[in-house]
Amino acid sequence: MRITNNMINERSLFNIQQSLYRIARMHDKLSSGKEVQYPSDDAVIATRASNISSRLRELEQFKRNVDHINNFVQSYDTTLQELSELYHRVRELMVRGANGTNTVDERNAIAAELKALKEHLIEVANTRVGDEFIFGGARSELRPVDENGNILTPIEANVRRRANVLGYSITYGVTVYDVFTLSNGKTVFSTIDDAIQALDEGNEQKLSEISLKEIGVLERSVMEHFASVGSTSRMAEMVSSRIDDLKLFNTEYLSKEQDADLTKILTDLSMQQSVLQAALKSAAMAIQKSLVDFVGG
Amino acid sequence: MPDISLFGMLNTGLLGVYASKLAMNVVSHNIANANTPGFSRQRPELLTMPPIPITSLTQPAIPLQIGTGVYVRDIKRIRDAFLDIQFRQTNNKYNYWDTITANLHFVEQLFAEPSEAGIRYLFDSFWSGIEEVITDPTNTAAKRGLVSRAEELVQHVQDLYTRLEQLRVDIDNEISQRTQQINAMIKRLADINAKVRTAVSLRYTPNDLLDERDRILDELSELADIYYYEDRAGQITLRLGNQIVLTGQDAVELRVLERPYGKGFKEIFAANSIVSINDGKLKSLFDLRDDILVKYMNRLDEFALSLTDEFNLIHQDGFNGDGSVTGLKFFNDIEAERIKDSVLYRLAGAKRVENGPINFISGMSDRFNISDITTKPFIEKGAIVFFDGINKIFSARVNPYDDVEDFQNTLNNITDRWFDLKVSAHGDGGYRLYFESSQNLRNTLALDFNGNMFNTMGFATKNVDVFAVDRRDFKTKPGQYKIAINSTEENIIITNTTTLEDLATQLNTHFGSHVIAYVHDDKLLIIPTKANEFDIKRLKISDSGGLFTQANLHIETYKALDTGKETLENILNHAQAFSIRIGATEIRIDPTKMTIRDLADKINEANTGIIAEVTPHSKFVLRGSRSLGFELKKVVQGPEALWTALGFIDPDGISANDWDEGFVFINPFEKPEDQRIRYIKADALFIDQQLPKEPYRFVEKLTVNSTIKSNPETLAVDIGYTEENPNWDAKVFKPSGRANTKIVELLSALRNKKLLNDGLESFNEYLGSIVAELGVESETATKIKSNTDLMKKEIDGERERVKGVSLDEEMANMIKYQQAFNAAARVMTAVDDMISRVIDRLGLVGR
Repeated sequence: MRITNNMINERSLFNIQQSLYRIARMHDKLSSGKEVQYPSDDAVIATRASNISSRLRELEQFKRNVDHINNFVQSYDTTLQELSELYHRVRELMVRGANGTNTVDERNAIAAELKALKEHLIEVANTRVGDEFIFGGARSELRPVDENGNILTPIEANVRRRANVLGYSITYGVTVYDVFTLSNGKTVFSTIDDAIQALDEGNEQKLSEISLKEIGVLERSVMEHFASVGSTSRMAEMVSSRIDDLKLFNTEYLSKEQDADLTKILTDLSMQQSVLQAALKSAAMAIQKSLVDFVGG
Repeated sequence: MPDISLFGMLNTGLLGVYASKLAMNVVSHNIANANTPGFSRQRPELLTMPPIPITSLTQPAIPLQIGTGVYVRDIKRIRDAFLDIQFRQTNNKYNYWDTITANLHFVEQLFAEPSEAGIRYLFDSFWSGIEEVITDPTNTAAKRGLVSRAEELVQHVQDLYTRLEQLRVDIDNEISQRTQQINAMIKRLADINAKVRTAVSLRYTPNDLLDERDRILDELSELADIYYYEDRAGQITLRLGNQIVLTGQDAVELRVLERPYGKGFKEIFAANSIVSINDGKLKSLFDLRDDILVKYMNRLDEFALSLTDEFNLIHQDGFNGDGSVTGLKFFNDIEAERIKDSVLYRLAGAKRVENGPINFISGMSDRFNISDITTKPFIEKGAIVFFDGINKIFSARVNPYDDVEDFQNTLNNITDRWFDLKVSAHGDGGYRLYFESSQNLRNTLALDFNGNMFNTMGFATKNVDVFAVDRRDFKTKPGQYKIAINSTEENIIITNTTTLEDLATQLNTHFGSHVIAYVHDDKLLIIPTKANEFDIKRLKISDSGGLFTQANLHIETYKALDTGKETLENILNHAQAFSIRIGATEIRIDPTKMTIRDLADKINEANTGIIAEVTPHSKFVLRGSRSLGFELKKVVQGPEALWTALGFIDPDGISANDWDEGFVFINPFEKPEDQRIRYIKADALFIDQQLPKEPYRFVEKLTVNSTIKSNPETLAVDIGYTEENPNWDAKVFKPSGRANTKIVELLSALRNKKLLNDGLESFNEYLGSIVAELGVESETATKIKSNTDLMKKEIDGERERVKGVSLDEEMANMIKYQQAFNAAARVMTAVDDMISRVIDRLGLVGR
């Protein structure tokens, strides 16, 4: 085997270069904290990391959606609570009115309070969050009820609010049709009107047999929606914590895939440094001397 | 007798001195050039001089071969031609992959994945913008956010695209420069050829010229694949790629000429023929410019085109928040500028094929025999109430173990009916049970009082709510009750003898336009008419007297015949099965069972490269996919009646051949000008034709519609609704409210809908797969590069082993030749002594 001086030079340089390259790579990893910086470092891991990051961003958005649901659900919650109390008061007044022993004055007083309650109910039906009528369904810019108690929300707009979470959608809205009308389409406002008329006429029987029955139905319907709002709220909370779990899990996963193992790299690095030193030393020795140094005259 | 002469010996010694001196010169040349690139060490070729046969006194019988000394025949360079070839081939490969790696790494940096600055991040943020609108549909800020995120995405994609294009331009310039370099090298080779020829004719070896030639060939092998051979005169003939560029002293100058299209990128020509290079740096430059970078640009193009068209087709089917704008596109169409150089990418029907009359509803189907249908029994007794939506209503009953035929007979006995329940053949053999009517069956409400009758007959059902009053609850106090239904106000009179039937009669008389009242068994049913969509929520009942409340009016839910399935039979008024053909693929259509959405699915399943889709409002869409170069590049045949019904073409008024399956609907060989006329009624999108070795350049036309940009409130959110129409062409289209976000939900769903890469990948996956593709390609290139680098080093080492100058060796040689020189000189001195002995001392005996 013929070995020339240039061969030794080249070889030594090549080895030192290789060693330096490895050290540079490790330095990159250490300073960026990432095992994989470019897809070419490891296409599989890079693609996976890219997918997980995308998934994390998706989760971030779902989280925002849930927060939004929570906001709205809060306002439904308080409004329905108020509504329930109002219906309860209407019912009390009707029970009192249905009592045959009331005087005309008493009946008028009851009728007056019912009238006031009706107006208040109209206000509740027109509750706003921001500039949206929360009972307006799809036409949330439109007042759901006019001052006489006629429903203005068109039937096509009887659509509940929705938001996408984790790939399915949560329906959380309540419309004016849900809590202000009977199943036959009669509104609570006309029920109150009828009751006032019955009081005027002194028709206690009508009050007890019709109006009370109707307000009972409405109260039940409010309670049902109250419960469903409550369950939506709980569900939103559950989903929210599920999203947090998923985020944590995905972040961990991403970190496991993509983040550099510092201990390992530091160990490798010090190892590589000794290798480099050895290479330098041996090169220095190998390329130093030749026969020239010893043949002399 | 002759003998060896002393002067001859002196001459032998002299030759030794000369030879050693010359050898010493070679040693010093080697040492001087120890680090000259491309230098091959040289060796003097020492040979003995021809001997002289002499018979001498010491051997008188046989002439002895007397040596006469040494001579130097030649000075040879030591080199292995085989290793040179090996080295140059590996050098080709190394330089190819080196360039590829460097450029792909640059592309990786552009795509910036995985990070928070890449295209995926922006697409995700765009999608988040869509979600924000769904969650908070009335918030203008959310819409503005969506639009600006869309713009960010567009800008980023375009920036990426421009940088890739710039890289191609840079590479193109490098190709010209490298070509000039090659020309210079070829010129030098021609020069060397001339000198070598002279040297060879003078019979000496031009070692240093040959070294120079090898050095140039090494350098050339970095750039391109070369093949060469040496002729007898020592000149080489050189082939570069597929063209001979040097013979003797004739060098062919390479020229770069611009392509006559696109950006005028350059090709290399030798004389008038194009030079195709198969390896080396130049090959990689060509590959990057014409292939690899184009591929990634095309990926972005597909993204842009699909995003634009999918988005637009959905977006324009909706209304904005306040219902004032519809038909608006979210992005500007990526449309061809010149029809002449365009191809047909997408065809959308002009009609919203929905809400037309339903005259046929199929139940059980694909039965082998008629009796399989007619003898199917009903297990329990039951009844179906049929209501025509206006005023006709009747009930048809079955007893336990009656079969379908019995039920058919029962229906046939009702003369007042407006439909038939029939059994007949359909599709490709097989029988079905179906309702047929000359009237629109959407107007029929058929309530199943058994809950299982429609299921038994194989009809689809839906739940319908109606008002009901039970006979046992009907104990209303006598009196006059004021009832208003949807603003019609009438008095209902109840006496002690009023029966449920009487109440029904009164209700029908007064409110017949809003509801129908019908007593079935012991139940009074109050059903909204068709005018109220059979929907009790559309009834506003004012019952101030409390008649209904007393009678305990309540809601009951029944299974009703689902009259909403819009089968092709209803649209085409044609029950026989037929075929459409896409290229050589036959797709069989059974109109009695399939809707247009089923038709689209079936076309997609056939995997022909043509992708079908239906927009939210039932416009039928056909698209060319990636494998067809985004062109409807296949012959599509099928009955004219189908394409007319879908709103693609205009009827010719002659119905004779409407069902001819051979009718050519799409003819890819037709000129785009003619296609434009042919599909004048349809919504046809023509895109620019792709030029060879050039990207599609759709990204350059990707822009957000300026109307939406300037006023985000024009963003479509609401899907709206169409009204019933008599001819399956829903023209009346109305908004339903601003919190209805169906359109935005459909846009959001696009993220995970498999639309790209021939229907294999969703937008989300698509971006991931670009990253994967780039990663794998770049990783492979890096690996091959480092492998070839090692191999190149190995071979170069081997070459160095043969040709390199070893100083130790030269030192040893130096001493060797020095000693030889000294010895030869000593020989001469000795001979000199001998001669002087002869001259001075010989013949002096006894003097």
